[in-house]
Amino acid sequence: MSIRWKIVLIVVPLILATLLLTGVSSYFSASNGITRVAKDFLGFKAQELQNQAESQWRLLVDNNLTDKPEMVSATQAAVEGYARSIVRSATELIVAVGEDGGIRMSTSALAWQGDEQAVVAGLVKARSTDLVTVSMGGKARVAKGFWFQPFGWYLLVSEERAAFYDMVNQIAVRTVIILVGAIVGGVLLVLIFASYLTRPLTRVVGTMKEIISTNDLSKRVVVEYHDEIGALAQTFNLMVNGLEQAYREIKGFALKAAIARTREKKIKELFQVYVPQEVIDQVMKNHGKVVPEQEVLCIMFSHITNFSEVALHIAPDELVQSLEPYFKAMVDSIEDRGGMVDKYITDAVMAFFGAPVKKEDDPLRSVLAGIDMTEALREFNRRRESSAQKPFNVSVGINRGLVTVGTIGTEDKMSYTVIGDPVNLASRLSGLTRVYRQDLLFSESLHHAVKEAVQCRLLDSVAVKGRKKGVKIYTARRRLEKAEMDCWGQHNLGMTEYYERNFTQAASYFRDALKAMPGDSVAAMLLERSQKYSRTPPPDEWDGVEVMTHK
Amino acid sequence: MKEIISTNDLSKRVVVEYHDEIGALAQTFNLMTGKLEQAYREIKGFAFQAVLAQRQEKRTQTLFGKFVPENVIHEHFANPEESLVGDNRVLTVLFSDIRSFTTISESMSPENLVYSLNKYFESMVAPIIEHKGIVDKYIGDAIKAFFGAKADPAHAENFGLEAVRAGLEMMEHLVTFNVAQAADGRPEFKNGLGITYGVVTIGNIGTEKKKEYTVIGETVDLAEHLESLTKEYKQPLIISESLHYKVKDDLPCRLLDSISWRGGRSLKIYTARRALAPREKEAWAAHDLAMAEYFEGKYAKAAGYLRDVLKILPGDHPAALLLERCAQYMKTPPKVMQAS
Repeated sequence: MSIRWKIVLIVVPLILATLLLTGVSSYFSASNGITRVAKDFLGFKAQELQNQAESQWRLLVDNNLTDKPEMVSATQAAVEGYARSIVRSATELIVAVGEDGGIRMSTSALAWQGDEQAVVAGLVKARSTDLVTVSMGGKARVAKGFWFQPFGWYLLVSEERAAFYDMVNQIAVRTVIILVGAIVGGVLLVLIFASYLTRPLTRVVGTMKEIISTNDLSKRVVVEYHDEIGALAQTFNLMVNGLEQAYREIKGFALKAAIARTREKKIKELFQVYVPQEVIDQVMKNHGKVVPEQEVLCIMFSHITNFSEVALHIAPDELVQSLEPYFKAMVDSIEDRGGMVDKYITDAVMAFFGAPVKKEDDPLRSVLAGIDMTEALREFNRRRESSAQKPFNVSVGINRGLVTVGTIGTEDKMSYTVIGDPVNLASRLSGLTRVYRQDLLFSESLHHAVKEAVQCRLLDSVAVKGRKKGVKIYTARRRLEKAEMDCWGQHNLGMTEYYERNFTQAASYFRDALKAMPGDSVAAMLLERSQKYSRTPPPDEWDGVEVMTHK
Repeated sequence: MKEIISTNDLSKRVVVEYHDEIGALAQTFNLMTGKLEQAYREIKGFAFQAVLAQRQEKRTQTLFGKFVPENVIHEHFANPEESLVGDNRVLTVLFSDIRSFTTISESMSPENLVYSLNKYFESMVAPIIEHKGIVDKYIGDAIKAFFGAKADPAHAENFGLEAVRAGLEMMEHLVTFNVAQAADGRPEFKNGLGITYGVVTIGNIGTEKKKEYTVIGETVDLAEHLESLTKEYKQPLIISESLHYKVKDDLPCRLLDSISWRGGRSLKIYTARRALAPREKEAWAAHDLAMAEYFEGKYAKAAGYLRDVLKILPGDHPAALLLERCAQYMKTPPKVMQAS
């Protein structure tokens, strides 16, 4: 229920009560006054009539004419005449009745109806002098009576009840009219006032509800009054301001967060292209670095042996484009086998297997990746040659050994990489391919892990530049042609004899190998060496190691 | 109501006692307070998230920056489309390597090696960064860096000079580094620097999966080659002929030799110093005179100047080397004249 109705509910009953009380009290005082005057008047008339009748009768008594019926009748007529003279209006009636209630005299025509005569007879019998209301001739009348013994009459001075109370009724009607008018006026005034009083409040509430339901925070409540409602509106506006600002701030922060997240995502995506995801994850987890640790890894180097030559024929900026498919072939082969590409060194690719994620068969994976790379390169070169471009001669060197792997460098330049001697050997092996004319070389550290899975050929035992210790080097193929199979078989037998210093026997195996594969450069090289050693045997400390003086 | 606003205690509510305008008002007010409270809570949440996201972004970016030059990020955001296009630019390339690192590393425990190497890199990288260079990568113990990629093309900056200054500072830093190494009982490092100036292809090289922001090209190979020559000439720093033109007005330079480079071209090679002692100055001047005569084929005259150099600086290796060569050429003149 709204305040308006509350005010109406409180104020209207107040007005009503006041007005009703006033009305009723004035009605009663007015009607009392009027009734009393009318009663007195009626009483006075009755008194006068009685006096008249008594004085007339006393005249008869004084003259001793009481026993003369004609005189009594004349007196009765005089009384009747007097009665007629005091009747002022048609509504007044003076009547005389006998002991039985029968009419003896009447100022205007009257006939009893119903039990009226009996009621009047009751009054006569009681000799009532009270003001009574009786029905006479079908009309309610206010009457005052008295018994006049000499005549045996009961005289009733009466007035029609309606006429008797006419003024009172008029007062009542007027009072009611005034009351109703006052009430209606009052209620209307109250209503108008209440609505005037609550309008700003309603408006404030309306605007508030609108703001809340539409969430349109740009709206404000109009501050119209400098009263409580004005203060309320202002307070509310303050709150809306606060809310609007809060939402703006939320939006601002949300936007900032979203921008930062998008940027971070982009940076991460970009980052991933430069540094493998596993490394990023580890680095993130370990507060910006991965403490270098000693691990046995397989390190791989691959480079384009004729790169300077190839590069000469390509415009430098086009070089990047033409290197792209080469790098793609290399990177895909390495990553497909679970290796991690460490870096590019111009045309060279450095990669390792076993970090950041270690797998049991990393050695085999690395050699298989090497085979994949050489195969992919053959395919790549077929495409290049078909478009009359120089082929890229690639060479892959793989070595396995204990290296230090982790983030190395400074705050300004960090690298997740491997260092250690085995890394250098891998690099050197990649460089040795031109000596042995093989596109894949790996050290004996990998041989035992792969010999069951792929075809291997022992090529030599070498000490790379700057090193005394020799290492056996192998190449491998996924599968061999018949001729190759024979060649490699004879060659491997030859190598065994060669290390046993059975150089003549070795030479014959190498010759067989050459028979199977004429022009095989490794067999030819070993044959030559075996022949040389069979003529002039090497010193006793010879262990089959060829010392390389070039990188 | 005012109490709530003035104290900002949004957990308070106006008690809704009546179902009239005042009640509606109180309810509205409560709704509003509820929203405000929620909004403030959300602000806190969002602000926290924003800070978190920004910190995370910064962290990632910082981490990224450690591994990859900042240029990559900036160029990527400025120009996301062209990420695998090589750009031919004139830059300065610096190559540094530790002499006989393999031998040194064999004598050290892996922990010691990593520690020393990190310290070494720290002292070497600082001058590069300071002179606006970008460390391209570490290759084992070698450092490959380039200068001029950050330079504003409109702002003619002598990044050639910056690179040589960085190189000289690296030599100075190495001395400090070796003092510390010796104090810790760790082996000293010796290194060589090759710096060249010329056209390189710079860009994000590789494939979609694995890229590297690097420089390639002949200028890069030459820098590596010059670095390898430092052993032969017993000079810590060798710069190319083209770079020499960029720095000769600012730094004392010494012509070391003319070498044969790809395609049979001959290139002069120089070394540089920050400053020279008076005796060195004199010796270097005599050396330059000798070189002029040497290239003219006047080996006897050249030998005379070279002897002067050796008199001022006994045991000076480049002079001794040239003197030996002059003596040889005086006996048997070279078949093909060294181009001057």
